[in-house]
Amino acid sequence: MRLRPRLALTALLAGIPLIAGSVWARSAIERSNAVDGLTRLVLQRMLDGGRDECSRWPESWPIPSGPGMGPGMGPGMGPGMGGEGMPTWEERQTRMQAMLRGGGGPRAFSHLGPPVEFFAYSADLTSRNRLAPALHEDLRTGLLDGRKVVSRGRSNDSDSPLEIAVRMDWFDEPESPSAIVLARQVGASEFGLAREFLWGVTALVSVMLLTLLLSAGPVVGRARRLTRNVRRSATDQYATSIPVEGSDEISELALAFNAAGAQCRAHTDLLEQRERSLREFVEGTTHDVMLPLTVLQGHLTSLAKTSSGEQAATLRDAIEEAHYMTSLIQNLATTAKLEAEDAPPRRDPVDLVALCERVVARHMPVGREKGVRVEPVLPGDPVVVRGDETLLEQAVSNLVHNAVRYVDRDGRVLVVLSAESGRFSLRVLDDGPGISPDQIGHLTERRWRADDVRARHPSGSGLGLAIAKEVALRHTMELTLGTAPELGGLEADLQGALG
Amino acid sequence: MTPDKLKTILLVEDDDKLGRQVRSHLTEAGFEVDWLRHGHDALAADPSQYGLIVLDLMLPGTGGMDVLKHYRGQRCDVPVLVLSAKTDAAIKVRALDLGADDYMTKPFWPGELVARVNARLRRPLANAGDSIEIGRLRLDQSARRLFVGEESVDLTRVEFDLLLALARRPGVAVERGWLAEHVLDPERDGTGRTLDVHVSRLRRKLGDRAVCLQTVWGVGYRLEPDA
Repeated sequence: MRLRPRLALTALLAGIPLIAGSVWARSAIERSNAVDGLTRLVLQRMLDGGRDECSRWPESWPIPSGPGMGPGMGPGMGPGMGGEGMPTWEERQTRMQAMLRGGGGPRAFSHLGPPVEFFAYSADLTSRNRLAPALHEDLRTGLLDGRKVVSRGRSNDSDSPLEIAVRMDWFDEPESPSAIVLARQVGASEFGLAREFLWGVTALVSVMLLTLLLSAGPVVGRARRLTRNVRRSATDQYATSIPVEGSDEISELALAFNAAGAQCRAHTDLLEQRERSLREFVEGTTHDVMLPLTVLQGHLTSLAKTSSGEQAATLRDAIEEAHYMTSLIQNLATTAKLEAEDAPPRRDPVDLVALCERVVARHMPVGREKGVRVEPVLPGDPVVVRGDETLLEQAVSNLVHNAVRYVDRDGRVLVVLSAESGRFSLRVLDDGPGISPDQIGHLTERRWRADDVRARHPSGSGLGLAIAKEVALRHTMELTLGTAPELGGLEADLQGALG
Repeated sequence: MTPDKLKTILLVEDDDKLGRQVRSHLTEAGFEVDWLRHGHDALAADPSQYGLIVLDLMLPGTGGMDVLKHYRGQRCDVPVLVLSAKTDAAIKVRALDLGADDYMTKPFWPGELVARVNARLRRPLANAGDSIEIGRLRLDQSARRLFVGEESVDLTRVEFDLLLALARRPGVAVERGWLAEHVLDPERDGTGRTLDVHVSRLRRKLGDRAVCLQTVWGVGYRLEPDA
């Protein structure tokens, strides 16, 4: 999960219980305040003449008589209510309705908003007023337990009425119709406050969340920049270091990356240095071996010319071995060159006609000793391709050498070059035993590897063909091996575009 | 160019053993060899009196490249065959750019060197000369006539061109496809099989020298001077 969604989710997970807890605490306080307020209202009402009214009209109380209303009656009561003497039943009903609609309390409690109903009960928990509801079981139990104030309703359910029953000081007086007073408040403006409170908390949490996300922005941005820089640094083998911003945890991370990159670089440098030394050693050695090998070949040739019989046969073998050694050393040099350069090869113009003539001339003397005819079949004009002449010559030389080695005595090797419609085909064919199809597949599938130089037994042919294959690959040429239609032996066909 | 001059070769090689050997093999092949061991000696020599120069690139003092540059600066067009132990293509390319005609990478076989020298000395004769001689065959290029010994042989245009193409590279087979494309009349002959018809007619006209005109495994034809 990405950093920003994770921060948002964490904030939400922390915020929701916070909001729920706050709301719960708030509503508990609200209820406790409401209970206190109602209790005070009851006490004040009763002490302000309510007790007397109730004693006088226990069947209809709390509908008060006009002048006995006490101070602080709401303006809604109107002048129509003013009158002397006993109010009529109708008057009292009207006043009761008005009171129930609201505003029936002293001003001090006007913030309680919703109308409050009062009912009086005697000590046996029954009311003389027919309209008074039966006391709820919870309230009865509480009162019988001797509690002064008992309340019920409106905790989570804001729409249920809040009821409090107050055990009056004169509870123990006999025959008092108002030993217990029930105050009942329907609806809750307090909850309106709670709703505002809920919005407040939600807004606060949202602001916090937003602040969190906004402040996370630059951090996320820097982390992303760092990632980009590390990737860029990795692509150039940690040659460039990562820019370090500021001095906090993220910049420390950048510093750590730089340190790791520097170590990588040092290690790579060391390996490259070793590889370069080794390559230079191989190049130097192959170069130094070339001259004595040329002289050795010359001596062998001279001796072969003047010898006969068994000695001549021995010299023929020696010549062939020297030729193989030459080829091996040249392949070693080619391998070092191929390993050193991953880049595309040179794109010099190379005349394949001249190249074939050189390769044929190189293998003809050895072929002649063995009785093998190496015959070039070439176009009358130069056939020019683009590439590294040394690599291409070594590739073709390997194909020819492979053919010369595997044909029988008095065998034939053809080097056939042709060019048509922008492409050339250089075929090396022989009349030797050829290679079985599964071996051919193996040879063409195999990729050239430096390990083969060491792994290859001197009698093997794989390295030469594998190098030829690799050289072809690097020149975007194709080398295919198959059976020669003309001679029946192996055919190696090198094809590519003219340059 | 006199025949004597063509048989004279200048060898510039600092290594004693190799120089001795190369000289001995070239001498054996019928050439007269002047051998110089140092670059500065080579600078002082007159290259124009030789038919070909075999030049080692790795010389003490003045290097082979400098010698080559010096010769070409003198407008000397004697073919130069460069010997190098370096397998680096850049060096070969540079040598060829400086005017070398051919190069050989050590190690090489004496027979290889002789073959390269022969090929190089034969070529200018074939290209520049008015007539080409292959054994008893003589092709008069300007008159477009063939002589077998002293006897003139009438050839068609295609037959003459065919023989000339083969004569330019004696001993080396010329690929069928190339011959069909460059020698045959595309409108009359088409390609492929008609080439064989022309060759067999040509063979009949060559009489006892027909053996010179050899078929190489159905992939090409060759004029073999020694046959």
